[in-house]
Amino acid sequence: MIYLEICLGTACHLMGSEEIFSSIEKLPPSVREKITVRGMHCLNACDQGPNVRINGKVYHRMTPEKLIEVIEEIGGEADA
Amino acid sequence: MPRLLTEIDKIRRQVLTEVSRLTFEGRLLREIEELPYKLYDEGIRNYRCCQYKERAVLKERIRLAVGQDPKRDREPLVNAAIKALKEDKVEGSMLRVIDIACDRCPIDAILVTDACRNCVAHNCVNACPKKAIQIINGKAVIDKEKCVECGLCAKACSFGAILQLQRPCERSCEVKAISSSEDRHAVIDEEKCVSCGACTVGCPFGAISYKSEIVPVIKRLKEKDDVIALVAPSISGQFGRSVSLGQVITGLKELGFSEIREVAVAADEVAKLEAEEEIDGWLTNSCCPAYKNYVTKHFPELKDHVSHQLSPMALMATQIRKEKPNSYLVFIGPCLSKKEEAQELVDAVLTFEEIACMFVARDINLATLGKSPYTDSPSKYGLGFAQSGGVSAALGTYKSVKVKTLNGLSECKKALLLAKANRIDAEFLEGMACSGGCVGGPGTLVDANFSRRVLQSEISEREKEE
Ligand code: SF4
Ligand code: SF4
Ligand code: FES
Repeated sequence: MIYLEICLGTACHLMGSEEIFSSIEKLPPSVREKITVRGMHCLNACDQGPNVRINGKVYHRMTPEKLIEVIEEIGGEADA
Repeated sequence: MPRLLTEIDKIRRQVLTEVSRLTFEGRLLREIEELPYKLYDEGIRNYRCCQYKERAVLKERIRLAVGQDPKRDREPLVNAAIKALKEDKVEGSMLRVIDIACDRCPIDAILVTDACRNCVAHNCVNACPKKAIQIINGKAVIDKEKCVECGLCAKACSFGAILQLQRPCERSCEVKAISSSEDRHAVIDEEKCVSCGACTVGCPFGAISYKSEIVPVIKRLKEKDDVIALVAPSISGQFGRSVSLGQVITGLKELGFSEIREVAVAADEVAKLEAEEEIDGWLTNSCCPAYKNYVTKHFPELKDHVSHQLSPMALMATQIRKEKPNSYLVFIGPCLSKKEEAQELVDAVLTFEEIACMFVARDINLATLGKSPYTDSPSKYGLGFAQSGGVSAALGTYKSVKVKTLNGLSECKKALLLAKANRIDAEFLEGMACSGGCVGGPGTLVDANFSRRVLQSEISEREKEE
């Protein structure tokens, strides 16, 4: 299971957190259903946004592409 | 926004945020010269050939952020800052080419690639009406002297081996206002430009951008003047899924705005007035300044068909001005063209992007704020002005007219050409320069489909409350 928290604070929003959110919505259902998504108000790294926290670890300057990579990596580990 | 967020947008936003911060904190004059170094050190790098070029480009982006024209010489930034702090208004054309950022993309319009297989049929040779193509050393070669760049060869080749290229800036400009200077830099022809801002999105090097008005606005906010915000109907959803309009209003108050008014109420009035206007054959809207510029500059013979009503922004500004002559009026919207429309009526026009950068510069996080009440109660039709089809829908509540919605400048062009030939089959043309209408404007923060969805739900929520 992947627990994904996306910061929707204004600083992160300005750098594209809305796009991160919608990239998750576009994932195929088989992948999507393994992810619990939550919007956050701030992850305390406002000058390095967009920030997301995945299973407790904060990632800075996230992009939709990078996020997919991280999710695949974690998903792969979980399966193994 | 018509496409995904790119590095260019992020860089522009970082620059705007830093300039806002320095202005708010009274450090602009002292620190502006250092800013290109600071931004470079913070990670805006590796896009250009070397650090010197990178910083030189950043320097011009900063000059735009303080509302000044980009320069080619080495004039210090502090001069721009001094001017910006002194002037009350950002003057002149808002869309600017940053020469040093322009990659002077190749202008060869037709290019034969290595995919050419020297086939037997030679479809390209046969297709060329000017006999400009010869087969030399087993490959098609185009005689530049004869080529008229019609592109027929590119269409004819069975391998797709011939490319028809266009510079991205020129392709993005629907009114053909961008050409190339002798040294191949992009130049904007002011006579033709309608200020829609599509080129700022089109150039992948970020070489075309807009002059910001953050400095004069911040100055007024700091002086605690009576600064009133007029927000465009397309504001719904701009600050993300978790932020409501009530929270944006609280945020604007924290920035120092004394009052926040919704232009959507004026849109309601404009629709009513437009419905009352005499129609001589057909009428078209005046609310989108880029579209209005397009009609007046490119189809001057049709300009009498443009509605004589003020745009909702202008109408509301005039009304507020009457009551409060000493107020400073700031329109906040998705639009770059409004920056030029504003001139006399409104004191400054900010994009959603510029205001968001100001929030961040003041560490205002809208997601954490409480909601403030609304001052205005626009109808769903007034709010609907934000999207293509909205003006027509509003008009439809007053009278039944045959309407045609023109979504984006290319549709506008087709319809206006027909109108010019007297082959128009509607009583009202609704023209919007941006695809999707204002929700697709160049100054927006979110995807147009997203904000359209939020707009719908906000409309039904407000209806419930009433
Ligand atoms: S797209 Fe146009 S403005 Fe941009 S780098 Fe190329 S030539 Fe210059
Ligand atoms: S469609 Fe809206 S955002 Fe675009 S140019 Fe017209 S008024 Fe401005
Ligand atoms: S706003 Fe995202 S980390 Fe603070």
